Amino acid sequence: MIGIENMQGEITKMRLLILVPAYNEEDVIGSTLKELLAFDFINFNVEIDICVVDDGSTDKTSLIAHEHGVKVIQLHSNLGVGGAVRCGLQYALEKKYDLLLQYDADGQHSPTEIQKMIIESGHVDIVIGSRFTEKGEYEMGILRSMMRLIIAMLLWLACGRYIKDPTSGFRLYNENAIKILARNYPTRYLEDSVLTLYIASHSKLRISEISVKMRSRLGGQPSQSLSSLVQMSIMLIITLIAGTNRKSRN
Amino acid sequence: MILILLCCAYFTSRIVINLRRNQLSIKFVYLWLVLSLIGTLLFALRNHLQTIAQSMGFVLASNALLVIFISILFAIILNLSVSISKIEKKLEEQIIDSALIRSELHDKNG
Repeated sequence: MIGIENMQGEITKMRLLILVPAYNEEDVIGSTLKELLAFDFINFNVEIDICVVDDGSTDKTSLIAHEHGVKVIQLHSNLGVGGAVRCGLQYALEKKYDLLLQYDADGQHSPTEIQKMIIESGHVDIVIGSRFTEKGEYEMGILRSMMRLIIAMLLWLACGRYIKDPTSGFRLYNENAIKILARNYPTRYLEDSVLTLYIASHSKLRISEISVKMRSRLGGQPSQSLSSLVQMSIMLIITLIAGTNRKSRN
Repeated sequence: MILILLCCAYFTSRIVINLRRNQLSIKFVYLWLVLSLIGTLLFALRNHLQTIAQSMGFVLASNALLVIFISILFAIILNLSVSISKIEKKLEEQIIDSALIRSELHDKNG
């Protein structure tokens, strides 16, 4: 059983917050939430809450999420995925959740993979659901693959650790990671996934990567175009080379 | 010389007007004051500019002035970039904090 031993020696259930950052995802958020809510989490022995952070959407994302009866936090302006995740981390910290799972609104992630991530979190602080640790069905364009490889290499040089899928948005953070990242989580695209690992690594957080199956987007638009991906990658490379001082400020 | 004086008068009046309208923070007024001080200094030393420029390794005084002003301009841009970055960061924090407070209020009010 997954749990925490309290002062009386009893095992209490861990509390997990599934955080779904969403920006203009009205086409897919409904089906993603429906799938999550319908999934049988009983065997997990973990108390689960779902929270959608609407990153300043201009469509009906919030309304649809409200209709599904999950917790919704609405940001006034669009900060990017990182901003939404930081907001979720702060919420998790305030409400004293033990674990936080970042889960995409676009239907790429599957609830069937959550349990093994929770089990893995028993001995590390951050679990990354990786698309590439084993040969999977997930396909990525050549340019995106090259960018991912360059970023992984740079991250390896900066942190001394090779992470095959540094841009994966399917992650589980434990209490330590939540505490450290709640105030330091970068908001800009790519920085949010990659620099987080840099900060985590320099804050002595243990990171583990496990293989998960991911699907293609069920709908909606990717948050970034290819040109902005290239632009952001260059900025990220400069940041990593500069050895930015982004250690925990808590 | 008349053109320089007109420029100075124009910028001074703009700074005063913006300050009165609360559109310019006092921090940036200092920056403009320093710039005007440099301008005044150069104006006062206009007869010695050639000698000063040559002692700095420039053939013409105009070249020295150009380099000085471009350097000042870059310094101002850097200063403003840092200020904007800090404000951006604060704004992000405010947006997140206000979203969390609104959500808390929403929960309390049912």
